[in-house]
Amino acid sequence: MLVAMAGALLLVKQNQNTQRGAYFAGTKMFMQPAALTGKVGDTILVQLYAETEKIITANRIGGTGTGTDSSSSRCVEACPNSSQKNLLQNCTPPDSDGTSKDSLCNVAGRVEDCGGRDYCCPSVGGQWTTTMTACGGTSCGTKPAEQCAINANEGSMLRVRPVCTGGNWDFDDQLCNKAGIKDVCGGRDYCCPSVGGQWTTDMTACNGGIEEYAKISSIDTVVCYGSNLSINDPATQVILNEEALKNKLDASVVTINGKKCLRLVAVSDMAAKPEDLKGGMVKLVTIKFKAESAGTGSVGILPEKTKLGGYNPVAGATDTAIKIGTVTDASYTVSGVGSTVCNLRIDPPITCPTGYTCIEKNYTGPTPPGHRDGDGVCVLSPSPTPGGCNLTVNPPRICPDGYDCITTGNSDGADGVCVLRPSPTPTIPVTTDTPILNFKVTFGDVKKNMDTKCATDWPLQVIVLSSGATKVYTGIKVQEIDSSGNLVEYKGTMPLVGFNHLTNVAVFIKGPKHLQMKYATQNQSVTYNKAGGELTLTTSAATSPLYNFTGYSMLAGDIVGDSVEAAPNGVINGVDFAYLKSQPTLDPLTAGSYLQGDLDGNCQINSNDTVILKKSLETKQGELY
Amino acid sequence: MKNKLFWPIIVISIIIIVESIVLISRNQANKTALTNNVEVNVTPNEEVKKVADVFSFEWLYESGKATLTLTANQTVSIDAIDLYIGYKNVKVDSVKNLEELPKPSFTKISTEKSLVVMNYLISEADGFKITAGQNVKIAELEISPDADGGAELTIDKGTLVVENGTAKVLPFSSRNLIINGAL
Repeated sequence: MLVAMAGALLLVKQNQNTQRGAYFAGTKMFMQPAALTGKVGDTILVQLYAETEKIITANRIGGTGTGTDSSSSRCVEACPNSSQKNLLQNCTPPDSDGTSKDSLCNVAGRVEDCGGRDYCCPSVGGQWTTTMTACGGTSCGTKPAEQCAINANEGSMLRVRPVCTGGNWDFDDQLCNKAGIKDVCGGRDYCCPSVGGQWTTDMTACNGGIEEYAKISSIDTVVCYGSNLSINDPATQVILNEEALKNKLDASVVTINGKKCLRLVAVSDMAAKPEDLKGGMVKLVTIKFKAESAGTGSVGILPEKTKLGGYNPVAGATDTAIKIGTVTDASYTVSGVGSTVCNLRIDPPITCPTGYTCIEKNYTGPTPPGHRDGDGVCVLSPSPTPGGCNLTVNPPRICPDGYDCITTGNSDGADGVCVLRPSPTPTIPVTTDTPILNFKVTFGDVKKNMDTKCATDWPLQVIVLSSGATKVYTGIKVQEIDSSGNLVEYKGTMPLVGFNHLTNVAVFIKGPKHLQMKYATQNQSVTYNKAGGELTLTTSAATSPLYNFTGYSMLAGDIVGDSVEAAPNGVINGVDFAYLKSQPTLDPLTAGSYLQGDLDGNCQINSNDTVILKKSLETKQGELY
Repeated sequence: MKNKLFWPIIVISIIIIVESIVLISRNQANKTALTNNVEVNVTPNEEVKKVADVFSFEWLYESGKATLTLTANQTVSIDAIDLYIGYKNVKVDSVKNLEELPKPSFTKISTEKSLVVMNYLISEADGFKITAGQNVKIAELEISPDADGGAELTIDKGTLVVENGTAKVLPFSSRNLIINGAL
């Protein structure tokens, strides 16, 4: 009773705050498996999952950690560099890696921002200047103020760094689309605390914050299902995942818009601390439907009647609502013939579904163990083909699609009845909390025993694919390990959150200046020219295989896009080459620095990088054409 | 009773009539403004500037040899040409660089994709300079047009010419080479 009252209070609190939860882009809710199959009489299981969003908190839950802005302390601003006047080193704001955003005066008329001021590149190789006459002058008129609060209801956007282009002021629009990113607007620091959240001047979430998932502590939902399924005893057919939700306050079958639905209200253990609650991908409940009749339909969550509550480390106790994002239903197919036998001789009899006839099986000799006298199978009745089927006559009397002709051993020896063909074993996606991908890769021409001091922390984009499902992960860091080959080897271990497949996996990996490579087999050394993949994963970092992709290194040279300002576009072409030629660095940078055109990781852009690019282009063009 | 309600009803009626008149007037004003906006938008108020082509690709054809040339409309230095020549109703027997440009980094006749691919990447720091009006031979293709005619060579959309120093893609024009069966 006390639990129910406390749970009710929690839900009331959560309902009061339904419109809040603004720190979250939305929790995904979905069913696993997405396609349910079974036969009449079977129990069909479906699991309801929630995948909460990551946010950044200033302090670890239950801890007392504090953060400092390590990135700004690493950034040295120079507008322009005193010894190299054609170089701007801007820390307002710093680059994504915390170092300065460097701009060379290599295009006449180029305008860049540094230290909050606009600088003009008057000629190729010239010196940056605040005199803007060579860069379009002031044809745009007075520089407008930056706009620091746009569309605040749907996540916010900063409109910063206006640039005079073609007579108009163009803003650099910054969405709050990544937790922990920072920007400067109107001379103030802004922080994005979560994906889809709102820019805020409260920097705690961006200064040494800790990524946490939103945690679930309660659910109030309605799951509707077709008439072919039933829940007769919610107490036994609705099973909570007690690690996430301990107490079932209500599980009852209701009718909404003529459909049968399960109303489920559940809360976590009331004594649970925030750190005990479950976040990320969380299995909430298993529903054991009884398949009553043949047919197809869907099992769906009603989002408008669903509320999730939980611990919001950013908002604290004032906002316990968790915003619902996408909701994905499951489909079901119940085939007509049950897996249980029919038997008309027992009381009560086991009958066949409408349209089927029970054909008793006559045992020769004693009835085998586990079987009863009168047990039979359901066959289509009456046979849709007059006179049954017979495949030996000309023309043959065949069964409809989906039915097999079963001879009955009559005097003809060939006449038969049409029996529903057994369903093939359904391929059900493996349900798992988090598959783990362990892998080793090499970057093309980053060679062992050479100077590769700048080939560190190169972020990868990893896409995983299986059974038509894909998931993209960005900013994946890999660690250098002892190498057995000629190239430096890097190892990565990553949980594939939100990806629920363990078999037939293919992985697409792209380095920051590399072409995307497809990896689909262990020890792959050449292009994998087939659809899908052959990788198998487990949910344990210790047992999931370590896939060795070092024999098929990432081709380097995709440095820029269609223009030098654009991001790499997945091809190596003349623009990449010309950009590389235009960016030579005479003196090597310090170890760990990052240069987009430094393909061999030696902290310089030099002729070797152009040679590497040419090799990559030759290899890729050879594959493509 | 009737006397008590008479004046309030009259006052409320007047208010409703006045509000209705105000609302209708506002709607009319909005419609006018909207119409005016549409008229402004559809009427161009500034001249559209066409980007001038820096190069033109042209074909010369004689006795089964198609020569592709690049003519500069202004003096410019280039770092790269990614050349993709599409072909149909013709067999491309060979392709060669006529040595006016440095050797290409990649050359291939892709029968699968009906493309001739040549990637010129010019290593010289100053690139390859072409003066205004200069004509440079890019490639020579030995071809065997189909007897049925309709042979055609085109500059495919993947083709790029990239400027030295800026790494900008330079605009160009091109014409198709169509070879009649009689030829």
